Order: sequence, then structure tokens, then C-alpha cells
Amino acid sequence: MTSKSRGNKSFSNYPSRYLIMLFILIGFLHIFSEPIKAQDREIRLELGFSGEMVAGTWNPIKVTLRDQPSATLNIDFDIGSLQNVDNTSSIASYSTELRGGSGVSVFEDDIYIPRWRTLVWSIQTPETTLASGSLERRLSDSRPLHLMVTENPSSIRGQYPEDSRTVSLLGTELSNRPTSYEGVASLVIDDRFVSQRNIIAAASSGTTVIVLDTEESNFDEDFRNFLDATLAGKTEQRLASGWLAQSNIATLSDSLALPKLNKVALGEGLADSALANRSFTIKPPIIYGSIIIYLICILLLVFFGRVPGFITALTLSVLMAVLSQFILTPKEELIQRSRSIVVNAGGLAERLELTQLLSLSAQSLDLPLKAHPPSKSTNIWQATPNSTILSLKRWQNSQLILKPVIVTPTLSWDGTTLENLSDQSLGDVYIFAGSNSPYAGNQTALAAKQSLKEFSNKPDSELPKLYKDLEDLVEQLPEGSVLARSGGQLYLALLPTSPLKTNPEELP
Amino acid sequence: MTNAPTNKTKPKSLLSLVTQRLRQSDMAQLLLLFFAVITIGIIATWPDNPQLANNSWAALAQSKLALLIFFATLFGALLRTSGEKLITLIALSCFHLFTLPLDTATYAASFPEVNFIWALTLPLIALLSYFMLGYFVSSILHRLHLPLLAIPCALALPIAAVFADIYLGRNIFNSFNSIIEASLPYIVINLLIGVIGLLFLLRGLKKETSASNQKAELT
Repeated sequence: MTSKSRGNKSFSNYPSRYLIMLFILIGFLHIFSEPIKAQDREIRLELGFSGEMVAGTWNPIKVTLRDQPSATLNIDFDIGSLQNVDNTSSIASYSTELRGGSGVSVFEDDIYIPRWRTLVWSIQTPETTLASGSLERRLSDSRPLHLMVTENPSSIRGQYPEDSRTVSLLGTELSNRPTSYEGVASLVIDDRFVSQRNIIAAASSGTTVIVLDTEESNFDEDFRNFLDATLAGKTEQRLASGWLAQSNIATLSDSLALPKLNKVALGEGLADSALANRSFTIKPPIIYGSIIIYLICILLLVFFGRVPGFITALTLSVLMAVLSQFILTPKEELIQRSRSIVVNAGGLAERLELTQLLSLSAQSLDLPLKAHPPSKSTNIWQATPNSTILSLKRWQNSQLILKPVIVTPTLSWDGTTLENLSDQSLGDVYIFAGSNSPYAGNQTALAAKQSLKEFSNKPDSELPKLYKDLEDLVEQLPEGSVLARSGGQLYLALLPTSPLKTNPEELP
Repeated sequence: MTNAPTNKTKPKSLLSLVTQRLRQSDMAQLLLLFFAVITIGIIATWPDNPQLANNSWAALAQSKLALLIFFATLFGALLRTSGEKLITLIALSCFHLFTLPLDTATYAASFPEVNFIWALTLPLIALLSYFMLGYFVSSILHRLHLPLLAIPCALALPIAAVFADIYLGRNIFNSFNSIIEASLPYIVINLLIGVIGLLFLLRGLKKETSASNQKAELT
């Protein structure tokens, strides 16, 4: 009886215990579910277009903070290979300060995303981590994107090659920054919400922008005027390194096949062995001779000079030590040389620049430029929105490819007339025309503001020496393009239309 | 009385003693060898092409250090009187001082990652400590009546230091590693050995001087 009553008493306690445990569980769930919600709702990180990014090129980044304190965004890329798993030297990173506060804060930029093995990001304040995450390795895809800003993407999907990475998005999701389109091969639009700035930004960055004229296209008057003025009755027009084309669904595949300029190869091709060359402060034979003479002097002074000779030898050694330190220290501890190429077409120009560095001492360089090492480089670098920090070992030769920028056109084809639009004279003007063209070759120079319609016909004209050294760059040039130079800056004028579609008489 | 020959000779200055020591055949030959080795080292490693990394300082520092350590341990173990030891130690230091311009020249052209003052002072510290180590080992083995083992044991010390560091996984005893990468334990241990040895040497010198004075008074 007693035991039964005891049992009943303890049994009667169970519901309250269960209730307490349930409250604790709900409490835990509430605590742990809150940051996840916060991450989803209050902080948003977008890389690439609709989450699709292109490895080995510049991609847009957008961070949205809602009612969050100011924080720091860190993105780390582990770009090591299987051969150097334990080597931490193959790390690239991007960091920036994000301004927070009440309301919505948006940060937008373009970042160079290398081919990564692991990509980890975090948004942190000094006290806590607001959000963090990582991306799977399968997202490290270097195939270019094909953007479709159309109401009916399925109708045109069949026009793309089979392995194309197509992304359908809204016109409002496009970027106004040319660098955002570095990894975009084509942009097809039939949406009136796409602005002219988007088109110019995309085309100047090397993208083939195709305006799809269908029954559903509802472009406004301004946009049609812009299109007519730019295309001038043609179906396509080069704009800097890209294209602007007008097409319909039937001819879309032809427009998609317009020749692309390999900008990565063009940028990396700017380097040659002589760019960051250094010379000896004193030639080695003079140094060897001086050492031998000095040591003989010391021996003679010590062996035959007795005490005065010994004192002289010591004094001489101290003097020579100071002197050699002054004479042999190189004037430049860091040799930094740049070469750029301005790609001109259709009244737009884009500058690609390469900087070659030779650091004699081990140092960490904070360069006030947006750049990245070439694709095959294993340098460590850290990027911020305004600078690039590069760690160099002693005597390390390194290269940086700068972020492409839009500049004023300098050299341009106007029909069959070559125009120097700048205020400086250009040398080594060379036309890369077909073998059957009588105008291929060296035109020597082009004065400031000079237009050239008649070209000299020199059958034995040779490629200038610098262009011979830049073999990798010259290989990338399409037919009909003209290369000129002024100092370390190269100017490239591309034919405004595709050579395949141009009447041979219109070619230079 | 006035015609009697005097036994008192004029005491020689330290400079004249060092000069005399440097001119003795053993030191003169070693000095020639020292100069020859480091000159060949510089010529062999100085690049012909200005674009190539200049690693001549590393080659010079290592070869110079190896020779100085070898000479220091050898003479530390070999010589018996404190006076001889002290003069030889100073003479060996002059080997380093005479080749200072080569250090500064190769350092300026090479841009090594090591501190300049460290690069210039470490050979002197290593010279001092290994000289004293040679002296200690030799003294102990002489007391144990094993004088024949003194020189081989002293010369094995630098090799033992290299292996000790490999075993410990730290940079404490190995001079060849320390000249490339500055190490606080190395400098503390070696300076301690050097200073203790120097005190022993000075005490020995004092004893020798007083003994010779007593002898002179007796004669």
C-alpha cells in the first residue's frame, strides 16, 4: 500500500518534469535557431550573377545588411593543389569593411575569384561572427556565363552550345560596372528594363550583347534610338573588346558565334622577359678583381708592415666595409614596371594593364591598385576594394594583372580610315591584315590627331621588335587589327565589324 | 756592474704580439687558406645575370663560419698556455675583421633576410664560444690523461651541435643555421660559454704572469 502510494506520487510528478524538459528544449531551439534566421534574413551575400560565378576572373559581389552593426567581410580562397596540400602559401583573400546601422546597407564591388579548392567567407564584428559560410568546390567553374534577360528564356536556350552555362535573370539584377562582366560571354536581352549603361558596361568588357528583336520585345524609343545610333544600320558593332548585335531567334546562334577576344591571354601576354630587367650596379669581373687586390693588400700589410701595417690593414678593412655597403646596395629595392594595352573599337576603349615586380628583399607590398597575379601564379595576395597586398620572397619576380578600366579611345578604325584620336604621336603602327591584303605591315608612325586612309605598301615590312617579343599577345589579335605604341603603352584598334561579314574592299 | 747584461726585456704591446702571431707560419698559412676559400666561394656564387638571385652572402657566411669554427676549436684544444690562447683568439678575430668588406659587399648585393648586425657579430660569438669549448674539452681530457683524444673530440663539437639541433628540433647550438635565422637561445648559450671561458683564460693568464714574475725574481 505504501509502495503503491509512493508510486502514485512519483508518477504524478512526471507530467511536470516533461513540461520542464519541453520548455528547456523549446528554449534551446529558440537560441540555436535565431542565428540561422539572422543569417538568412538580415545578412545576404551574393557572389556572381544569381549565385553563378566564373573562376579565374572578376565577379560581382553584393552584401546586404539589414539592421546590423558595422562589420568586416572576409573571403578566403585556398587555391593550393593536391601537390602542396600543406603549403599555406597558396592563399588568396579579400576583405573589406561593411558599413552597418539601422536600415538596409548595401555593399557592391567586383572581386577576382581564383580557381579555388575551398572558399570560406565570414562577416564579423570585433565581438562576434554575424554570418559565415563556405562554398562547395564544384562551384569553382571557369566556363563563361551566358546571361539571358528575357521573359521567355526557354525559347532561346536551344540556340546555345550544349555545355553552355546559361543564367536567366532580371534586368534589374545586371551590374553597371564593366568588370562585373569579365566572365560573361554573352548577354541576350529583350527586356526594356535593361539600361544603356548595362549594355555599354557589358560590351566594353568583352561580352557579346545581343538585343533580341522579337514580338515580345518592348523596348522604348530612347533605347531604339541608342541602338540605331550605335549599330548604324549594321547587325553588329564592336564596342571596345565586346560586341553589340541585334538579332532574332533564328540568327541568335550566329550572333553568339561572333569572335571573342581572349582578354586573359592578351593581359598576360603583355609580359616579356625584359619588362622588369635590372642591371648590375658594378659588373662582376670588377668586383672579383677588387676583392683579390684588397686581400693581397691586407696580406702584404700584415706580413711586411709590422704593427703600423697591421693597424693600416684594420683601418682599410673598416673603410672598405663602409664603402662597399654604399656602392653595392642597389638603388631600387623594388623594381616595378608596367605595360598596358588599350583596346579600341566603336568609340569605346578598355585598358588592360600588367605590372611586373622584382623585389630584391622579402617584403609585403601594399599596392594602391586592384589587381591579381596571373592564373598560373602561386603568390599569396590579399585584396581590398582599393588595394592589393602581395607577399614577396627575396629576389622574387612577380606579375600583377590590373583590373581593366574604361578609358578614352585613342586609335580607331572609321571605315577604312585609321584615326589617332589622341594628342600624342604613335609609333610602330602595324596592321595585322590577311596575307592577301596589300596593306599588312609597318606604317612607322601616326602623328597626333592624324587620320590615315592611304597605307604604305611595304612587302618586306617586318614586325617591330617589341611585337616580336610579345609573341603571346600578337597571336591573340584578330585580322584587321592595328597595333601601335607610345612608350610602354600599346594601342590596339579592332575592326568595327567581323571580318567574315565585311566586304573585302572595306578591309584595310 | 754597469757592464753586466740585463735580463729584463721590454714588454711587448698587445698589437705587436698579435702582429707577430699573425706572421707565424701556422697562422699565415691559415690566413691564406681562409682568404682563398672565401674568394672562390664569392666568385662561384656571384651570378652572371643581374636577374638571377644573388646568394653570395649565404655562401660566404657559411664557408667563413665553418673555417672560423674549425680554427677556433683546433687552437682552443691545441694550445697549452693562456697567453698563447688569448693572442691566438685575437689573431683569429682579425681573420673576420679583415674580411668584413666582403661581408658587407655580399650582404648589400644579396638582400638576405637576416639582420645586418647579427650577420656581422655572429662569427665573432661563434669564434669565441668554440675556442672556449675546445679549451674546456682539451683541459678535461688532459686531466683524464687522454690528451690524444683532445683534438678529435674538440673538432667533433661543431658536428655534435648540428645533430643536437636536429634532434631537439630547435635552433640552439647550430651556428650554420643561426646565421641565417637569428636565435636568442643560441646567442645566450654561446655568449655564456665564451664569457666563462674568457674568465678562465684570464685567471690562467694571471697565474702564469705571477709564476713567471716569481721565476724572474728567483733568477
